[in-house]
Amino acid sequence: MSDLKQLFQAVLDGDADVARETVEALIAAGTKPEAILGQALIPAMDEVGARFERQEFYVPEMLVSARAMQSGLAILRPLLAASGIKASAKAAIGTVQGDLHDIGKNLVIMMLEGAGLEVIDLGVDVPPQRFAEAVRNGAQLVGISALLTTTMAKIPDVIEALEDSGVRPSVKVIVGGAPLNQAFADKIGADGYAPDASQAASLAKRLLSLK
Amino acid sequence: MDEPIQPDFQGRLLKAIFCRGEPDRVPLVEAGIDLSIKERFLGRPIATPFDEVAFWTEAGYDFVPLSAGLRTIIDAAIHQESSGRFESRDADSDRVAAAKRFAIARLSPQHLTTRKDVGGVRTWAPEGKGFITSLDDLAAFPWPDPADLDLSTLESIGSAAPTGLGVIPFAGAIFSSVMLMMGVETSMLEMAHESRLFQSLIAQVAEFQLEVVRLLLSSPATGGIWINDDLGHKTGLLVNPRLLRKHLFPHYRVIRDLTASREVPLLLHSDGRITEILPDLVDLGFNAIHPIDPNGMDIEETRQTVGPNVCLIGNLSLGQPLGLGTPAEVAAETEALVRKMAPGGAYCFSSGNSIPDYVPYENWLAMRDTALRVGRYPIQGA
Repeated sequence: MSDLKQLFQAVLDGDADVARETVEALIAAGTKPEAILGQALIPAMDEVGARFERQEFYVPEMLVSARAMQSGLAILRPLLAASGIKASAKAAIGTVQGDLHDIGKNLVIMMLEGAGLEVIDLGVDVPPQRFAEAVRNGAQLVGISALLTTTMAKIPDVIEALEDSGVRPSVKVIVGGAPLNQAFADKIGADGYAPDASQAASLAKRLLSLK
Repeated sequence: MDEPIQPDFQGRLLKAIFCRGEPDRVPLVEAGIDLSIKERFLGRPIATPFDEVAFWTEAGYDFVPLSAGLRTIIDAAIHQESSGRFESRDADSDRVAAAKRFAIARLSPQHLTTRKDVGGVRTWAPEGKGFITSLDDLAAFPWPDPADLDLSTLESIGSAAPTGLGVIPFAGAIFSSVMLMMGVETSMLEMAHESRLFQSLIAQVAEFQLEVVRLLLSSPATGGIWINDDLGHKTGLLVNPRLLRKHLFPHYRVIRDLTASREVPLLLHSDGRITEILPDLVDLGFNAIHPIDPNGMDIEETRQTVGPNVCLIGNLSLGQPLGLGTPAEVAAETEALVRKMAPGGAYCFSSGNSIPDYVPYENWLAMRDTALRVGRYPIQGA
C-alpha cells in the first residue's frame, strides 16, 4: 500500500496516530503538501461523508475520522501557508446568538476542513455582526447553526446584518440545526440548508463551485 | 365544552397503547409540559403533587408523567436544581446529593444552567466532556443507591389521582444517561472504540436503571414505564445499531419482561430519526414509540414499518407550527394529523417532542382544544 493510500485508510479507520505519522513520512519523502491534502485527506473525508450518508458510518466514526484528518492537516497547514498555497475557499461557521450548542457546528467544521476549505470557527452565541465581520475578512461562505426553535428565529438577524453591511452579495449562506428545514431556509433567504454535517460539506462545495 | 375530558387510563389510553381498537377519543399525551404553561392553564402555581394531578386531569390527559432514576438526578445536577427524584421538591438524600456534587465539580460552568434561563442558554447534556471521562472518574463516582428512590411522590400522586388517571414514570434511560455522564463528544469517541470505559459505564448505568424500574414496578401506582433514550439525530441513528443491539437492547428486553409481567405498557421516547431500528423495537416488544419527530421521521412510513400492533405517539412539529406558527396553523395541522393517523386506533396525539417554554401558550391550547374536538371516534372527515 502506498503511503497516500495508507493515509487515506488511516483517516477512514479514525487512527490519528497513523495519520500523523504517515503525513510526516510523506513530507520527509518529498511529497508535496498539496498532493497529500488533495490525494489522501480530502478524498478520505469525501468517503467518510459518503459512508455516513449510506448509514455505514455514524457520529462516532465520523468524529474519529475527522480527528485523524485534523491530526494530519495540522502538520500540513504551516507547510501549505509557507508555500503560498491557499485553501480552495474560506468559510466562517458559528452557532447563532443565544444558543450554546456546538457539537453539530463542530462536525460541520471538520467536514468542511475535510473538503479542503479554510474554516473560521466563530464559536457559539455569535452576534450577527461577527458573521458580517468574518465576510469582510474574506469568508466566502457563512454557516449558521441553531438547535432550538427560539434561537432559529434569530438566524434572519444574521442575514439582515450581512445585508446591512453590504456583503450579502459576496457570500453564500448555509443554515442547519435540529429545528430547521429547507422551507425555513428558503423563507429567510439562505442559499442552502443541510440536515447533517456530511451534506453541509457537499452543499458548501456545490454553492462555491468547488470540485 | 362537551368533549370527554374525564381521564380514562385503562379504557382510553391503554386501549390505544395496547392497540386494542378505537377508544372514545384519541388520547392526549405529552412527555413534558413547561411549568409556565401548566400554571397558566391551572390558574395557580403548581406546588404539590395534587396540583400536578389537577393540571393533567383538567387539561384532558389520562396520566401524569414523572421522572425517575439516574438521568433525572444528573439532569437536576446540570440544571442546579434541588430535587433529583420525580418532580418532588423534597431535599435530596445524602447519596443523591453526593452524586450531584461529583457531577457539578467536574462540569464546566457553561454546562451548569438553570431552567429559568431562556433563549437557548440551555443544554440538555454536556456537549464536550461530561463528568465521567476516565476509568478513574468511574471508580470515584459515588453511585446513589436505587433504594434512595423516593416512591412517596409516586404513591401520593397515585392516591391523589381521580379515578381513571394513571401515572407513568420516565425510567430506564440507559443510553442517554451515558451521554449525560460522559458528555456527548466523549461518549461518541469512547463508543467509536467500544472502549472499556464505555462498556463499564453502560453496564453500571443499566444495572442501576433496571433496579429503579424494578422498584417503580413494585408500586401499584405505576401504570407503565416510559424509557426516554435519545438514539437518533436528524437524519439517522447517533451510533451504529450493532452497538445498540450489543450494549443496550438486551437491557431493554429485561425491562420489557418486567413490564409484561406486570401487564403494564413499555413506551420509548427518542429524538431524531430512528427508522433503522424500528424492526428491533417491534421485536423487543415496545408497546408505543414517541414522538416521531416530523423533522426526521415520516409517521405514515413509520406505521408501515412497525405494523398495526405498535402505538405511535406524536408528531406535531415543535418548530412550525407549534413554536413559530399561529394558533390557527396549529389547529389546522392538528386536525390534519388526527384525521390521518387516528382512524383504527393505536395512535395518541402529541407534539413532536414536548412542550418547552418557547411554545406560546395559545399554540399549546389550540393543539389541545383541537385534538379534543376532532379526536372523538369515529373520526370525522378521515
